[in-house]
Amino acid sequence: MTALAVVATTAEVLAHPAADTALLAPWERQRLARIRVPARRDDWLAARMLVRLCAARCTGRLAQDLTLAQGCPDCGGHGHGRPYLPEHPAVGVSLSHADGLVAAAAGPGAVGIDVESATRRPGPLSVMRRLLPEAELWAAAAARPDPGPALLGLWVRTEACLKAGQGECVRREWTDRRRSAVVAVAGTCSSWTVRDMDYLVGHELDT
Amino acid sequence: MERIAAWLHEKNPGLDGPIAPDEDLIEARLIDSMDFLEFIDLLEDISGDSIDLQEVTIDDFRTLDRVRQRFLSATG
Repeated sequence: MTALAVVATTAEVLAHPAADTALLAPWERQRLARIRVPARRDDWLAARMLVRLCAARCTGRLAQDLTLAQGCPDCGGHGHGRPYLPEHPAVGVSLSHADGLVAAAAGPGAVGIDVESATRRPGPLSVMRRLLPEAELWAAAAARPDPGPALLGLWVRTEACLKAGQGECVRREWTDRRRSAVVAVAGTCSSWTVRDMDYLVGHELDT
Repeated sequence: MERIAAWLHEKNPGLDGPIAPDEDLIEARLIDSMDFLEFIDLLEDISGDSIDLQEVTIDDFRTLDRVRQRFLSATG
């Protein structure tokens, strides 16, 4: 099985013929209805679509035949927390969205992906130092002439690892210059195929 | 609470109307993961107290009511 990570803009995903809210489970539609800001709603929806398209490519199934669930390792509840495919327990999935960008990953074992706009800057350091590995944080903060990109990269890597789960490490980190996106994928699998939305367009996903 | 509401509106330019005290800020995606860094800094600035991140959970930030009770009760 190929481990696949895909980055796209929200607009690209929502323009895909298979990107239809009909793909969403009832609990996802309820969550979608609670998002009042149109841009955030579009991002959330696009990420749900993209992770299904990505998982479909990995499993050889049709997107509409895949069940996406979420489970919380902290409270044991469902409908939030780490996404998974109940019918494909060996396949890990992850999704991310931010500011008109979305990313999704699917592959064997644990998977975590994070995307942020390349122009965004995390901060302040006074809070970051309580959440991020100290040595890596100070190394990023010391980057010259502008520590911003290094701090953003550290944040994205950390988020990807958190999503993948304890003990997992970053496998790929890259900048999608066309979309101005910084992305990292973490997880069990050491070999990842990174694609953009063009890779998914044209594949038969809804017939 | 006005500063917090103003900050949330600044972060969400397309947000119409007020934010209800019991509205789920996380589920409504009014705060994303990176926003949390600034949100914590804002709460510390308003309250004058440092927040021990080992002692809080995501639910402590879920609604304006909960934020007020958990972090700002001493500031009125």
